[in-house]
Amino acid sequence: MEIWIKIWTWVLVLNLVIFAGLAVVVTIGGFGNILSMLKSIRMQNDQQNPPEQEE
Amino acid sequence: MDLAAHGIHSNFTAIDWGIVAAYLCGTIVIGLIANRYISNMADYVVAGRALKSYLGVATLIGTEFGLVSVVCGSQLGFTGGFSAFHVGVLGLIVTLFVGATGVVLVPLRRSGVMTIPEYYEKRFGRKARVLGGLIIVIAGLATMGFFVKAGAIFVAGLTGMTNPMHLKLFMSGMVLLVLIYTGLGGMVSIVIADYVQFVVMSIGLIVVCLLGIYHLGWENIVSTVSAGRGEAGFNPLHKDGFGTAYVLYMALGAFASCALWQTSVIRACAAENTRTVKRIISASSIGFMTRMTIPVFIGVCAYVFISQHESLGQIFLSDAAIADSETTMMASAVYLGQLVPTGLMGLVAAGMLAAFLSTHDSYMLCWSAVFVEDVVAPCAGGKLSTRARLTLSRLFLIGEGVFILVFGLWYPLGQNLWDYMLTSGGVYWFGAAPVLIMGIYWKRASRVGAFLAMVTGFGAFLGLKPVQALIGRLLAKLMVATNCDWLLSSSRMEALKNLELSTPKVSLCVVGLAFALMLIGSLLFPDRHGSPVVEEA
Repeated sequence: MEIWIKIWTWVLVLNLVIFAGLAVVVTIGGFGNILSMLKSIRMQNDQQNPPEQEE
Repeated sequence: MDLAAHGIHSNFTAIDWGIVAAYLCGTIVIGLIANRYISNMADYVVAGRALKSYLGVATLIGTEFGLVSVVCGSQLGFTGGFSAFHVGVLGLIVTLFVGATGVVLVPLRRSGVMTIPEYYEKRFGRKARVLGGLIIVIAGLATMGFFVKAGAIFVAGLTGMTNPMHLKLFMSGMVLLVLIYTGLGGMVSIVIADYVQFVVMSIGLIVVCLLGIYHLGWENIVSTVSAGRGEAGFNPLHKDGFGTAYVLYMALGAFASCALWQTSVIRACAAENTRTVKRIISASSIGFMTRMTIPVFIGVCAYVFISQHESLGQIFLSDAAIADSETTMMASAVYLGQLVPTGLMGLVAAGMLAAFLSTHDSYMLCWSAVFVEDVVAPCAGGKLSTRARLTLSRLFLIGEGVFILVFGLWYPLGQNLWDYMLTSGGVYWFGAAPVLIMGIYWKRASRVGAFLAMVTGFGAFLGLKPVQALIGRLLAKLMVATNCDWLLSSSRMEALKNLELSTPKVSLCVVGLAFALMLIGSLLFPDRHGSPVVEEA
């Protein structure tokens, strides 16, 4: 049983540390991705439906 | 259950409600903003295929790490102790494998499909697409059926809001909110809401874990579980705990979650390219682990806290309470309601409710997209306009909302929520596993084999406890009606009436049968004109 206790202790500690790190990285990177996604969709839409040219 | 009558009051106050309300209003604004970017079905379903790595990770974790997974994990931790960690560890290992190899997902992304049934059509014909689509919708709705009830039970425990009518109104309002912003913005609003939820939930859960260790003490947590559960509380293979069959079933379930389940696949299909698919899935492996380990740890802490408080122990640790899955579901929420201070409680609740919304929106969008694109549109001969598809999708969303509100009220759960979800979802993935794996990697896989495997998936229902009990009662009645009851002793007849089979063993048998039938059907009935090659998009 001792070995399981050690395994689960390490699993929990590593999980908390890695998840906290991932949260920081994804929070920062994800914000940039949102802006990029909205820009990309708007560009796709503009290409599909080009605005009418004024004479 | 009236907790106040037992002298149990939550730390949840008006300040916390204010934080929750501010968050919910924010989600509506997101839906309205996102609606300006929607012009076609690709924008609506796969966010214009413009999903990049970080956002992909946030949205995948946001979807799969919902309130329901918190309820499931904490229930497993409360009833099974530390050994329930194995579910999360298997999630990590299997997802890393899928991310590293790109198995199933990379070929799917390369084929340019938006949904799994679309792949079925390319590989096995239009009828396979319609049948596969129907099965996905049935399995998806069955899996979601208990979400609202689970959410309601958890919110009741967390907030102390135990008036049944208030609770029903609150949860109905939540479903309405999901419908509004999913219907408005589709995948674009979902990925943004998932991102916000990921941020809020990550902070909230990490703090809750640290608070649990700080208040209860690590040594105390380990010794209390050891005293109460023995070795089964730590060793997942122990016969008094989960057991080998359960662990095997969880490994298969982990594969299905990241490689076969439509909500994961739709994100792989929404990725920019196959490299991004691998990166998203690999990075999400942390999420697939965390979505179980952190809730399991909360459940373990709840067990320790409750076992050291007599009034709570009488409610949650009696033999009857442990046997009642709805009671064990509430235990961790009550623990959080006692432990987390006001203010932080609002943040945790907002994170939990955000998680509730994010799972619902992704799931509901998925099933409505599959229903419209893979069932209705092929039957209509592909003549549906974009406008008609969006309208149908939104109508189906409303139908889903009504279904999940009603289903939770009458279905008796009878088992851990996690087992219920994995098994009811099995109606789809027990059959999809052989169809996708063999369809992608075995040229001789045929239509007949695929149909047999898909239909075999319905055997998953045999793993659900209420279905087993119903079958047992029907068999007993049949034996009496046909005068065959003398074949069984009275004790065995009684056992038949209360039929209870091991869910993991039944499920593993059904998966094995589906693979066998796919193989046999393909060998005996090969496709007449050879197997179609799925071209890269």
